[in-house]
Amino acid sequence: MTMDPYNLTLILLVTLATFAMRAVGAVVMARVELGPVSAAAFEAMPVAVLTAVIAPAVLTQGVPEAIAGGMAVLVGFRAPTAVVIVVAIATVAAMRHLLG
Amino acid sequence: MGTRTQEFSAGAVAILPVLVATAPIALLFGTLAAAKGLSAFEIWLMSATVYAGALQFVAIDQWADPAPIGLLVFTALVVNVRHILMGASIGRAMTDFSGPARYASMFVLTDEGWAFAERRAREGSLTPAYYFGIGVSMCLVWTSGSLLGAVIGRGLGDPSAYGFNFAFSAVFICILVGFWSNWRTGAVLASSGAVSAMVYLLVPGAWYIIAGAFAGVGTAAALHVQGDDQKPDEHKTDGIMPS
Repeated sequence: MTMDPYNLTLILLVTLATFAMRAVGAVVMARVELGPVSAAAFEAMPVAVLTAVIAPAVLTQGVPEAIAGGMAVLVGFRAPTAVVIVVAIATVAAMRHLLG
Repeated sequence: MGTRTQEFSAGAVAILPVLVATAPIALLFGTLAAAKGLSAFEIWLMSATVYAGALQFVAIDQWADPAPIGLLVFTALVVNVRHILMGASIGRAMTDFSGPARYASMFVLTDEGWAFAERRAREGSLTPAYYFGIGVSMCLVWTSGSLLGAVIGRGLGDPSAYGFNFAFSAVFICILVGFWSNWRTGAVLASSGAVSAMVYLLVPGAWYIIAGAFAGVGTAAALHVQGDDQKPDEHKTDGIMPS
């Protein structure tokens, strides 16, 4: 088991930075009173944030990823999550193979 | 709402499909981190304490010897600014959480776990036991997967060659489909996705996440200002997560 003090410090600092972001939201921001417009904005937050996280991976990486993303949306309205994952991975693999 | 044990298991069972997708990603992380020269213990420790999948991949990508502390801490702040939004949103549903439980819950916050917790809160109420059923099981899979990847990863070859790196996108798409309620959802999705992809292509670093998030949230606020006459039932109907 090896542990470099420099790496340990770095991991600790990154942990603090990450935790600070999360705690500020849940403990401070969650207590702020909201008007109707901000409430609508908050309600849209899950969709807005999750979309922003994955959009580049689906839209900017190439044709296989974009097609697999489309497939996942279509299958996602009908099938359980596990099936969607299998279909999406199979589509990416197949398209990469087909398109070289 | 059931007993604590029932709630805990309900959370763990709900997140199961995500765990299946997380395992290969965790292996991949361990493999990549080991290739950058981190020891197995350091990799496990990072997964257990930092515990932020997207950030860990970005950090490992920028890792050098010696690792650039300033750059990595700044990256951590930028990549994780979205957690302020997530925490602010789910924090409102944590009415049953004690003060310490609230802080502890933020240690195990993940994008996927958060989305499942939001869904639970909208269907009824979110108990601490349900939340930690999600959080603890995801944390176990992520830490043990990274450790395993660090130890045996190089023997497995490149997981991205088999399309495994797309598993996370598929999970996120399922979650998004579950959040679909009406055309407004589509407007939020389209604006967030378009802005995020554009910023990703034009601006270096992880700013695309926060840019897309603000575009989507701004769209929702603008639509609300324009359409105050919407019916209440139209506003609150959420799709059912197909799982």
